[in-house]
Amino acid sequence: MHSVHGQYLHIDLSHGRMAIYPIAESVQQAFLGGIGLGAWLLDAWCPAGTEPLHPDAPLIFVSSPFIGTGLTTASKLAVLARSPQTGFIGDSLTSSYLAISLKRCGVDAIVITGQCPEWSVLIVENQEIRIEPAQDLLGTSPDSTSEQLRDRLGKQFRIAAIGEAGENLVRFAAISNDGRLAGRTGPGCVMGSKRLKAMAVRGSGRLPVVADPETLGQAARALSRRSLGPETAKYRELGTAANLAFFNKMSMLPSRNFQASQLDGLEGLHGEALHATHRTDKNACAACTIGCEHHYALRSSSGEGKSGSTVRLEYESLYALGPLCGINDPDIVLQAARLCDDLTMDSITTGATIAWAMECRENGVDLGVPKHEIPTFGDGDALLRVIGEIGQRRGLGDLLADGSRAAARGVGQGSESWTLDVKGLELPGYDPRKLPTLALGLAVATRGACHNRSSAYEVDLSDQLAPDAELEARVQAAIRAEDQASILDSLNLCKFLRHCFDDLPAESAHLLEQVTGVPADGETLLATGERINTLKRLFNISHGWTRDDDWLPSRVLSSENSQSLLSPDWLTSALDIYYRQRGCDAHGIPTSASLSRLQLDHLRESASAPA
Amino acid sequence: MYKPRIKIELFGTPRMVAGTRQIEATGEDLGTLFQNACNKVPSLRDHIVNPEGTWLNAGYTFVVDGQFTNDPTHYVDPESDVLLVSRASGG
Ligand code: SF4
Repeated sequence: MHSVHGQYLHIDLSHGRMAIYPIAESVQQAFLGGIGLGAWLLDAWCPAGTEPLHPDAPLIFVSSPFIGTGLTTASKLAVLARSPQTGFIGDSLTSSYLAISLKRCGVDAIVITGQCPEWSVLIVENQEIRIEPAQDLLGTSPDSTSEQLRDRLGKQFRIAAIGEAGENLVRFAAISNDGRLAGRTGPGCVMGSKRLKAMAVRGSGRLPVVADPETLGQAARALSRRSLGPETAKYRELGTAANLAFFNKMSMLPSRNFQASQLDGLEGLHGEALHATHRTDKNACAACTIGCEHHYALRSSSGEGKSGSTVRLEYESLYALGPLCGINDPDIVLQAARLCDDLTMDSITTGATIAWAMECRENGVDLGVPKHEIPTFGDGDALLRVIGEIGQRRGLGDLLADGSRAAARGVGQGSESWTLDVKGLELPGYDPRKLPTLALGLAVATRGACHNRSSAYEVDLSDQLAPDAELEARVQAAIRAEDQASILDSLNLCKFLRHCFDDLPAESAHLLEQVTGVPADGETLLATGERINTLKRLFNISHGWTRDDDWLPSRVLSSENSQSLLSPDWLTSALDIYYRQRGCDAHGIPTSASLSRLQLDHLRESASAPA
Repeated sequence: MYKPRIKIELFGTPRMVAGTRQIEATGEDLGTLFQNACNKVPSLRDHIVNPEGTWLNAGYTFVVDGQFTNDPTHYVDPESDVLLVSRASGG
């Protein structure tokens, strides 16, 4: 198989040792790379009973056959661990030059276990490692860590680092590289538990050759041209912030901890308005022709600029730190987003957990701190203060640093009924009460409430299905969206590229064949997506998942919102159909016939971690 | 002959390139309404029209009374709530 190395690097931090292990070609064909190969490695290295923050728990970085091939956006790095936030699979993707550097080291993945005796930096140079003290870097942001390390080690090094949130074991801490975050499910917390402030990687080897460079070159150029067409105009021109005004108009914008789906007075937060008032420039991830990363000026609320300071802002941060907390001041939201980046934690969980605390205050719930320290909806200064407290686990922040579900379980008093999460991961900024296909996608997503592992909202936000379509058809559409997302996540391509394909599975299969030389078609690639999703489900089952975990928060299933299309009966029926169509039994467990059809029985057996 | 005017609320790129949140045009179906809107605000044409000049390109969609539609024959009247938006694909 071309464009892969067929091996991965295991690093044991406790003993400062490394070893290289082969990856069978059958495994690489079955799981591709990225999240797929990462799920296979995680399943092998994190058996049932391995606690997420135990030194034995693995932290895994994975490249893909597409990285370094010239295909636009193919520079994503997959990061996997057992999530300390959910207890289930934790998988994130982040765009980074680190992905290319890792591949130049001559391996397809790095698996890290163990724990450094003191805070350290792991330095990986091709296939050699060393571990150096990092005490001097503690308390610094990843950007600053990265700058200092690259000054010290050389500019060819690419850095993945945690901020203070990871150092303080905030359960939803992220890992930052090149200013982009592996954001959800808490990989930064796992890295912090290993006392690893940063990993610096320099690969100077040649990238493995692709099977058909000439045809691939033509296809890559055509895809790059298409990536500059109307399908991506929204991202290039306005960025994802463009969603806010439209979602608010359609009553799909979760506001005030999902007590409302629409909020007045948000005009200043509209992507179109931010573009006019705050936008400074834009940037692109490594190897990307689209460039959706828009930067905005940071100013105090009185309008004073902090000279030259800017922040990257995505819709999800805008939603979670804005309307979800009842905030409509753009300067506050931008400062909050910057704080989340500097502390390096998931902005969705941060905003959603603070929104939960705000509702606790409304209802007089005792959170173990004086009442005036609990923020209220709309209080921007309190929002900024509490974000800092979470990152440093101070005051109220210590409770909130475990995420809304754990915090609510800790304080009780009825507050569990207004956490908005699935499996412990808080909901993104698409109100599922108006988006039934997405609602199912969120319920069954293996990493918890995630719009990126399913993309089923596309079915709801288009004319693909009539509003009164049969539930069978809606479930089928949700499954296809999940499998397509797995394909992209395992080829490490950006989701924003997906409309540049007329037939995503078939065209990706052609590219895969040109890259690897392994014959592929759309159907086999969709089956690969299904295999990867099933493996992730199996991992969760090993770690205690039951059907009850595929459930939506009570607030989105209740009849309190008159526009809601959901109910507990609806979700029960949708799950019954989903499990049947997925080849699972009524409890959501894949049948042995399904495992055999997907070859997961023997592929999983081959995955046991080398001793 | 009296031709009722229909409001089109713009979101995303259409709002940016038109420089306004709303335009009014006439038409009994989306296709005619769309052509008349583009005649009125030619800058829209440069961004959101397909290469044949006949209809929206792949980046955009209409929403009429809460329903997503890309059907130029879709009936509209002055009571219709018509939105022109960038197609959603993540965020
Ligand atoms: S489209 Fe945006 S998120 Fe995707 S690779 Fe390009 S810059 Fe990164």
